[in-house]
Amino acid sequence: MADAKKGMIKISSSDNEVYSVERDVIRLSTTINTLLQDLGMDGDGVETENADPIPLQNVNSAILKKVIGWCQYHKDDPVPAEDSDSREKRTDDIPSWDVEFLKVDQGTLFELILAANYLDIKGLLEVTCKTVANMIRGKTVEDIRRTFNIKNDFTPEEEEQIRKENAWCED
Amino acid sequence: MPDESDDDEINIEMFDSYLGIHAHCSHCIFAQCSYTECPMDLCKYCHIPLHCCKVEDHTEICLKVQVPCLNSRFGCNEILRRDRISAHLPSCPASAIVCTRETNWKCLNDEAKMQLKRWGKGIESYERVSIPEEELDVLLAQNAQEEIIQSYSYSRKSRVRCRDRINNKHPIVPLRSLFTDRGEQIGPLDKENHDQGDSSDEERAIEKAKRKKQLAMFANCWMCQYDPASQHLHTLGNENQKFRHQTKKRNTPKEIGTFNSTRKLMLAIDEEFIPEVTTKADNIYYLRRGGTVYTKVCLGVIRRDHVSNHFRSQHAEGENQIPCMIQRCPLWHRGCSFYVTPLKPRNGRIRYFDGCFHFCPNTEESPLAERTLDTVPPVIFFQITKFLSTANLRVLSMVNKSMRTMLFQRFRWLGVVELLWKKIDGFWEENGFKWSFPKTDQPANFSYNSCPEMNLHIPKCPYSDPIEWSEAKVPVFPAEFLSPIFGSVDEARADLFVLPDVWRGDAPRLEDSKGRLRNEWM
Repeated sequence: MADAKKGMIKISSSDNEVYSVERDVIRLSTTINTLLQDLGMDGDGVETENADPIPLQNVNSAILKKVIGWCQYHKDDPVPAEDSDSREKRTDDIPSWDVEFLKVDQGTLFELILAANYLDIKGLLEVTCKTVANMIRGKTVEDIRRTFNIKNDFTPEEEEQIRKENAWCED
Repeated sequence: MPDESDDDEINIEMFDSYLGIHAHCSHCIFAQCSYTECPMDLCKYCHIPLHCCKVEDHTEICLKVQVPCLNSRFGCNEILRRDRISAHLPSCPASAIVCTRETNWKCLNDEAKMQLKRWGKGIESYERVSIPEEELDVLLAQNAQEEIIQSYSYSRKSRVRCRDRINNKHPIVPLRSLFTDRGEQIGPLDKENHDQGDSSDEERAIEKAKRKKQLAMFANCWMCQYDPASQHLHTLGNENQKFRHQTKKRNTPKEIGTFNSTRKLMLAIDEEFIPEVTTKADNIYYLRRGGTVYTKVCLGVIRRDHVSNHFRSQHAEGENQIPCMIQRCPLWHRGCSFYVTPLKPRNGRIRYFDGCFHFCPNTEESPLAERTLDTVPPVIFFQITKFLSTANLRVLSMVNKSMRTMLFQRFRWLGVVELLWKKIDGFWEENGFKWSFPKTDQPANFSYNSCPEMNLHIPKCPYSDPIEWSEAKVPVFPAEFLSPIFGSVDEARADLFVLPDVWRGDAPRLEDSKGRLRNEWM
């Protein structure tokens, strides 16, 4: 029954491109899911076809397309357990599909993190952050500067001092 | 004897009369009370109804009141609800302990020790040799060596002050901070102020003088010690004393091998295992023979909930696992640099830099773009730090100024804070706080791999010097040897064994008492 009546939700990107997404797919975005629930558009009989698209001002169409792609693949994933605030999470458990999916340039990767954060898609946020964390882990200062194209703006004396004792003192 | 219950009653009455109109309030437990002298009020934090005279006292214990962390005195700036303090304390940045893990490093020989001193005193300048990142054992020893060189840059007097009963030959490195009476910290000496010679000379001279005195005629006469002015016949006592130090010391030339000299490494690459409670003195063989061992202590300030990760990643699965992570060719001491790595983490490798082991996952280089790590909003950066260890944050904080400021101002609670102390007029006083990110990485998942390369390498090792035997082989076993396991020796190998004629022919078969055939040679 659910399959036959699967509602389509329209969302529009910052550059006004409109995408129609299945209700089950966009459910992964807590932001949109809550929005639909609050607007009472969650019931079975609600007509969503002719409604205005939901504007997403912070996400451009290229990124939104990727986000929808990710959600489509992961729509049947079990709901992740409530985030316990334990630190030191593993980063070596990224599914292989996601590894392939996230073989993009850094700009797209950071945009994806921003979009996942804005749309509150926990799984996508986690996997993208893990990918960036893996790019940082085990790298020396020079490696990180090279990987992320960051300019060193310390004077040689400052750098020497930091290398000797990397601490922040205050009264 | 006064009745106790009467006494209590009197006290309560006295207390109530002292409280006046609030005598009712001190006993009232009702949420809705009609007593009008002191009306009911709500606690503005937890909304519990109370008589208004009790509201102020209630905030002292109210679980919903925002209070500073219990460790605020020690630098934690967290202000949180009282009922959340217990959950915060395990991860409180001020709840830190110091790691006192020790590692011991043996100096190769006296010449190597002198070289360390020359580097430390600035007589010769030390330049670090760049080592490939796979050679973890050398990198670790190099790090220890640099600490030792640093310790030699202090005056001998300071170094002697830092000795203790356990480490009575060389103090633990890094040296603890020393202060003058006026409270100034004693730093390393300049190059010019160092004594140029071997500073151990003085100690040796004292030892020599003592020995000489023992060797002097009648040195052991107890009457001379008791009353030297008296006229007496010398009591010579134990004559062995004279000869004890006269045994000749073997003086074989000691060299620093090519392996160590090419890497400018004056320490043995394998760590010495000496228990922390063992005195590093003559009870250890090579110290008795004049060797030197240095003790290096971790001294990392680690947050309480990270201690196990720190110990695993840095010590148990770091320093102690190096003999499994890198196995060198047995001829390494001749200069062979071949090695295999049987124990490796899955999906990555272990790197050692800045005095810290890091797990480096295999990643593909992702193409650069305009938006990069130092321009992402803090909220995103925070999401990323969830998957980073403090060792990673420590490296990140050295990348550039904006990252450093962001980490140490917004995210410093991920690290640890410690109190700084200052000595003023002989007394220690608090002198601000120091925030840092400790050397703690997430432990890696290790797996063993078989390494046949080593077996293939050994016969071809350029440093191998096999002994060739040109003499004819000596017969040892009979050719028709029937092994209980392998049967008879095959034809191809039979010619290796030269048999006396007597032994040739079929081995006589005998039947034992149960009728089973038995070979005579078995």
